[in-house]
Amino acid sequence: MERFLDPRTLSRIKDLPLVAKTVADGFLHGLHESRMRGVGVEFSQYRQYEEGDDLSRIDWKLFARSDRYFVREAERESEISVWFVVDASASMAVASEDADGWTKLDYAKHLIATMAYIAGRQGDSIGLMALYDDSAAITPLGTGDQHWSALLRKLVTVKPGQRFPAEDAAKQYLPLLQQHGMVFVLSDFYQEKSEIYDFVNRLAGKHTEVIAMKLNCDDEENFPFTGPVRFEDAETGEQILVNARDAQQIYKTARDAHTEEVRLTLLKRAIELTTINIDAPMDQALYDFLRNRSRVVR
Amino acid sequence: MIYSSGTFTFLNAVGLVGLLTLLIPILIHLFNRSKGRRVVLGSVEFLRTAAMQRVTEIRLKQYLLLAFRLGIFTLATFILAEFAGNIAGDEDRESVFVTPMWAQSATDTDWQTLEENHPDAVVHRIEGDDTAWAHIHQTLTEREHSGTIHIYASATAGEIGSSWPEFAQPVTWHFSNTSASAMDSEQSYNILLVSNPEQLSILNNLQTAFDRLNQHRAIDYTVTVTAPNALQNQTGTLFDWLIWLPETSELPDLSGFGIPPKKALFFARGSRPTDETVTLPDYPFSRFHISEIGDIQSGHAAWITGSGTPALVTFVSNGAMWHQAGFNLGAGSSDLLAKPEFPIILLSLLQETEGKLDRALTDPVYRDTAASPDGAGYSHPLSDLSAWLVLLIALLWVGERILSERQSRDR
Repeated sequence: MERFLDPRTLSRIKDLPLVAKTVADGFLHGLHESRMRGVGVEFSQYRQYEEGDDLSRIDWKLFARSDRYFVREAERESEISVWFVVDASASMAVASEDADGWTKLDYAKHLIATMAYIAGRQGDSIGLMALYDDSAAITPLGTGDQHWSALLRKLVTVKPGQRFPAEDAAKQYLPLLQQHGMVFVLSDFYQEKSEIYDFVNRLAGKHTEVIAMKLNCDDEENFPFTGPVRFEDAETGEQILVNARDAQQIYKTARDAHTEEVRLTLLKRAIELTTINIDAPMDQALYDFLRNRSRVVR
Repeated sequence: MIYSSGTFTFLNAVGLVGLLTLLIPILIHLFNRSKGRRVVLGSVEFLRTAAMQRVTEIRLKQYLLLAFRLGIFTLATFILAEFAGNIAGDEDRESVFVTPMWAQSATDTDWQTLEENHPDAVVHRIEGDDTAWAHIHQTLTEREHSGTIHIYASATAGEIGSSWPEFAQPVTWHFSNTSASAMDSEQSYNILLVSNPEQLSILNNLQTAFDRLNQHRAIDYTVTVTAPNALQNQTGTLFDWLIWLPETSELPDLSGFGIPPKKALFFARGSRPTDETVTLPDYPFSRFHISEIGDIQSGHAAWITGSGTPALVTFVSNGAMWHQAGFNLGAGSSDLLAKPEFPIILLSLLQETEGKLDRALTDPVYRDTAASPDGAGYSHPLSDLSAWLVLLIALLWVGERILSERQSRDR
């Protein structure tokens, strides 16, 4: 039986909270059974022992089982704020041609709903900001199930605009996000100039940890097209006619270069980049994300 | 070049409706996937280099494919419409027809003169088929040809067959001097025509026939019309021919009219027994496809023209003195007298050109050796173009296949 939930299956479920809880529960259940215990939603409760830590905080039972030292952080002393910022430009409304599933924006909404659910269970404050054109749909920070529901209602109303806000327009939302906590930025990082880079770079600060999630679909990754195809830019409407098979290598090279550019640009500000395929199971993406993150934390 | 004049035209213009099929490749071009199905991508920036490399080639292929397909349908339609390049031409232009005998006897100077006289005309050479005139007439009528028709012919009777078409267009005849001079001695006739007053319609038809001979064959004639009972008033006058219209069982004594032997034509209605066996090859009608039906040996034969009109119904040979030919003339539209071939029949009778015709029309030789494709009466060398069109279609089809297959592989 497939362990992860097929996004096509999930896409048929129109109930956003149900999908979020289903993914979250499956994800958490998976964590419970996995060898990665201690790095799940409760990742802040355990961490590897570091020099200078109080020996009394070592979980000896866990040491007995794993032969490794973990420091128990029973409860966080203070909750953190978790912002979810989603790029709602037109390029996010793209999906794989034959997938019959979510667009990148749909996927982002469900991923945010799921992560918000998990974060909410930890007691973190959650907030939502969807950016498009020169506007933003915002759900301020808050806690509790009702707030999660409110965030979901806002998510549902988010429709793709044309572009990511220009630098000046996006700048006004930065103070709201620059708090002690984490900011998840979900985007495909397709931009007119460098407005997303500028936004994310300004966002990353001393107290704000930015986690960038770059969403791709299968078609963008594998470029399975053949024959003469008129490719239309979702944001500009520009059409380019090419022989897809001949253009495949050029496309992949250029796209890999773009991904590397995004990674390097964000790395300069110590921003972690996670690439997610929206046509792969969402809970697996979460699982992979946290696994990678645990390595970073260690 | 005698055949080079004229513009493109179509023998079967209705076939040009086939050009509507050109919509098929155009629609394919407009809606075919090969034009490029539309796919929305988050960004086309990654394709910009590829586009610069490939878009020109793709479009070139598409337009080349469209051109191939349009060419195939167009050529197929042309073939359907019997594309020809030297037939007729514009409706308002001159058309020149050359008879086989004229072509045979014409000198280079004659041809040069013809081309100088009609620099823009389409020149058609008639091939010596008896249906040529009818075919040309039909063709010109279908094309609504309104330009002047020039006919270059010899003055020899029967040269153009038994059919004498009625052209709606103005016709100008040009007789070759050689032929005309050969017939000079026989170009003038003094005819005594015996008729009853009630036979006016028959007289009119005869008048029409003589007028045509005068117009188209340069025959001068004098016709003296008289009633049977006034025949004696013409005694002492020399006539070349007697044409007797009233119904009578026997001809009167014509010895006082100076009519030479075998020069009496006895036009009559109804069947009459023949007094002498006459075989068809001995009679001038043989040039006009008159055939014998019935049993002439038993005296109940009748001769009919190629169009089925009864012609000679009696033939009485009065020893060495007279040939009395009985014709079923009548005034009706189906009677011989009303038939377009009658003037030429009459001419052959008047000129007794049986022997001359046989000599003159034996195996005409043409300057152009191109065979008539259908024996319909005239040649149009560009009809051979059809073979080239078919070959061209085949080449276009091969090109279309190669391009299509290449595009299929690209998909």
